Amino acid sequence: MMLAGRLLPILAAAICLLYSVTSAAIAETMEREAASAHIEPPYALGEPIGDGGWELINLDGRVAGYAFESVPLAPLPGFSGTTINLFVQITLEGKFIDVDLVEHKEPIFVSGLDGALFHEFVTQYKGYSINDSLVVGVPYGDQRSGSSLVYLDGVAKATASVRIAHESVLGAAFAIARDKFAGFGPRIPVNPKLDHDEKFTWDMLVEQGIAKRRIVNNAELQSAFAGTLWADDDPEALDEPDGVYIDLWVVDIGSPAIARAVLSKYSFGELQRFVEISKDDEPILMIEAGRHGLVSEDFVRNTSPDLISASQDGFPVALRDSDLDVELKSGVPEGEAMILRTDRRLGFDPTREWALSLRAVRKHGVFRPEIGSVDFSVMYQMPERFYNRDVPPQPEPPWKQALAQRGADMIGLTIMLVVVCGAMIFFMPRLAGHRHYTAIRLSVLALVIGFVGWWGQGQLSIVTPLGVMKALAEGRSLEFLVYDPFSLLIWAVVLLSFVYWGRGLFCGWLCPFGAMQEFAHHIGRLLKIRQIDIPARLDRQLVWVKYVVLVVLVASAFLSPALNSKLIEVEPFKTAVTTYFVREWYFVAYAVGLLLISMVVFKGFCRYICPLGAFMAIGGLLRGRDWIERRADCGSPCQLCRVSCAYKAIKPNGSIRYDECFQCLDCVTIYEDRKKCVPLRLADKGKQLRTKPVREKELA
Amino acid sequence: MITRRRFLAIAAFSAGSIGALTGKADAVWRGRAFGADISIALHGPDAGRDTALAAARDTISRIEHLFSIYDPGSQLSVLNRTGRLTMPPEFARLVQIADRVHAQSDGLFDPTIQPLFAAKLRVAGSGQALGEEIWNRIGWRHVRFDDREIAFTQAGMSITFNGIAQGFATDRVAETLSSHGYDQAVVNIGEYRVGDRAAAIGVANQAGDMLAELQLKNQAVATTASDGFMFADGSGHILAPGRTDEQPAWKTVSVVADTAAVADGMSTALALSPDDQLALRLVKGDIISTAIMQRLDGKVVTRGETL
Repeated sequence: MMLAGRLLPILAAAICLLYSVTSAAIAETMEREAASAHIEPPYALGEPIGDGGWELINLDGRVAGYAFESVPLAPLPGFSGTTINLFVQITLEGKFIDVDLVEHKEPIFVSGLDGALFHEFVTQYKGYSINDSLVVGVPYGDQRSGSSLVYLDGVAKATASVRIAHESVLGAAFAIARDKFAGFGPRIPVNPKLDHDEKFTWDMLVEQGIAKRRIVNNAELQSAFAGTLWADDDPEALDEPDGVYIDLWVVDIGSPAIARAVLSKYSFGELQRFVEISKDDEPILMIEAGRHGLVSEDFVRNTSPDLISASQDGFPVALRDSDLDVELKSGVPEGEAMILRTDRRLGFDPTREWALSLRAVRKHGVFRPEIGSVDFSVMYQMPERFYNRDVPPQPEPPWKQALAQRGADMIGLTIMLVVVCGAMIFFMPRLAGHRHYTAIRLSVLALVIGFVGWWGQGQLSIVTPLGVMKALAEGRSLEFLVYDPFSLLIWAVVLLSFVYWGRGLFCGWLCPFGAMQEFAHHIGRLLKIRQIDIPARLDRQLVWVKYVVLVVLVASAFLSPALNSKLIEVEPFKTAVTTYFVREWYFVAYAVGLLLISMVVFKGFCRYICPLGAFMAIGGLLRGRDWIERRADCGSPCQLCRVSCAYKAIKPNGSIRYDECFQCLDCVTIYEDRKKCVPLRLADKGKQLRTKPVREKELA
Repeated sequence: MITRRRFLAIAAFSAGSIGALTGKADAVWRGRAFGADISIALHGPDAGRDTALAAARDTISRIEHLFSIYDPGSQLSVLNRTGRLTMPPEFARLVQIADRVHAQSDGLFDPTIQPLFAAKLRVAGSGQALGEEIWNRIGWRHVRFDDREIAFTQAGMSITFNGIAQGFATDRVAETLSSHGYDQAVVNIGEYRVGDRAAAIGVANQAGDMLAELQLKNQAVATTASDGFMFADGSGHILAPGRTDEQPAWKTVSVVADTAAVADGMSTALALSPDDQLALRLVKGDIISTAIMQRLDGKVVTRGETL
């Protein structure tokens, strides 16, 4: 505690320093200059569109697309707890022009993996469309041809960060698309329900807005041409202002229930035959009773009508004459009737509002007359109940994809965890007493290094609890955790193990770097390197250091994420596990140095420095039982286990310091061994140990 | 995106008048156009009202599609992109009106200031720092047009009708409603046009202070607020050639005229006017009937008929 007391002022000073650093760094959206740096010819930056976005201008000065930062639009917390900012450029058609990484604090790329890998990842979007189903990862069982999924190569060991970046890119691009591209959305084909059974009279159709009318009288027509060249070119409009120019009814007859209500039996039959052939065409009935007449004299049947047009969401809808003779049912208004058709596959959705326009044309002059035209429109929309919508299967949530892609690893890990925990729960005495126990233990540790660590990238890190703490404090989602199901499973087991064993299960059995240190220790012993024995007094003080380290990390995580990402390097895990020791020399020197120290000071890093170990020890306070059995003789007088404990986790009175216990089972081995355990040996010889109570203080 | 749409300072339906007005109207339709809430209050028979409102909606969207500077498919965008346009009838009509307002306002109303506006958004500085080059691209004299065709004579020009298109839309909707027999309508598309039945319209500044209450009949009122949006250099967003970084002389200017287009264009021009001389001349020439102008110090100057 003395040591901790001396450290306090230093810590306070450090926190003050951190605070002043952070307050200077206030995030802002990009300035024009910074944004321009990302733009390549032929594009140039245009007007800002808000939320960190800009228009992209083509050479001809037209808006060709949009450029935008991901953070204002899709602020997803990355693994570091802060966002990953990407600069995305898309065309008006939704194609990715480019994606650049602007800023991130993902620990794995800050140092560890080459940051270039992250930059490389985001270059993959170029050329794909936001309408493509982009997925990060390798197709596992999903390689059937015809899959609409497009796979982007992930970055090994940085799956979580890369996935979060991916989600940020798509989230931001979709936000822009929804805002800027009318009618954006995955095109879900809509088809009329052929068996929809509803009886209609004409009046009902009118009342429900299924039959819609637009009247343009001569006065309205005249006002549209007033004050122009063509003001006097339609004498009839001038003479009879109340006369009707257009009297148009529109009825979408895609649903047979409606077609039956407006067409004669004969025409309905004709339409049915037509629809059978042209399954994707939506037939639209128009009846015009004014003097417009729907088409000009030049109109050719079965072609696109020259005076009729339609649009939906600002995009034109291609109309064609269906070349059907139209006989109307009695009760339906009379007039020039015509059935047009449009292909639903081209994006027309009858259940969303669309506009039908009739063109009024005036000619001025006799030779080479000047043509002036005005389109008169009516808005139309069909109720949803007449249509089926083929809803495509929802893409699986990212965590499910992550789970599926690591299925084999997850199974392997589950088996391993079940075996290790099961053995501990049910066979611990037999395991510890096994004559090959050390070999068994080292095999498990080798598996932990190879499979859990290097292969599975399941080295837990203090980064995760820090991220969780920050997310909770800032009210953010903990979703980032599920992107790495492998580590999450280990975390879950470790958290449960707190109750059963305390910190030991993780620190002693599931930590890859801990396992490496243990191997380093054995190598040191094999090489007959003299071990340094830390005196008990000093040991009792040094174990507090790791708590101080933890406190500094927690403080920096909240006060200065930038500094935190440097301090986090106190954990050599990224070097030893994530990057297989292939990293800048000083990181390698640190990690290897720790392993070398471990050859002479048993697991020095784990016991004295590791902030994750400190976290685990605190978690271990949840421990609900003293699971290492003790005898009355343990500690008084027998001290065999205490002196044998490499972790110095047994008190002189024989009780266990569970906050320092790594569950190595060495003392259990002794306890079970009739040849080693002194009380047992004496008992076998019919003797009893001298039972003089020894107070802890005297021995310490 | 920062809209440069003029702030709608007329509070016709505000300050308690909404109840009075809508209570008397037989029907009120509300919608959105030109980036703002719009409304139409109708008097008249039920029969035919849907027909008239459908026609009004159609008119609004048609005018918007002609003149929207944000819609890359609008006719105005086509003109700005290509430098020329064969004008649809209603486009040609507004160009004629804009030309007249430009002349009558001594050039203060000028649709060609769009490049300056765009440039000012880009560089935070005074007009001079933009470079003299920009003035070559500004000026209504560089626009050639007849009844049918319009073209820019300089490269890099672009125009905006944001100082007048809403007024024009207001007029066109009122005409459409009238042609369908509803000539007692109050149309609000940013500017107000009152039909053949008197209505009370309150004029307020941006802060919501009521400046005047008008009784209008077959008239329109339009307001331009200079302080609606300022550039970084403190200059207003209402721009005219040769005047780039001046503090506006007026907080708000409201103009009453026979048509909303003229009221709209003239309120834009008067907002740039340093004194009340232009307002006096316009009133005298019967181009507008009233100008209500609030100085920066809050004093309200009224020229023309007080109603």
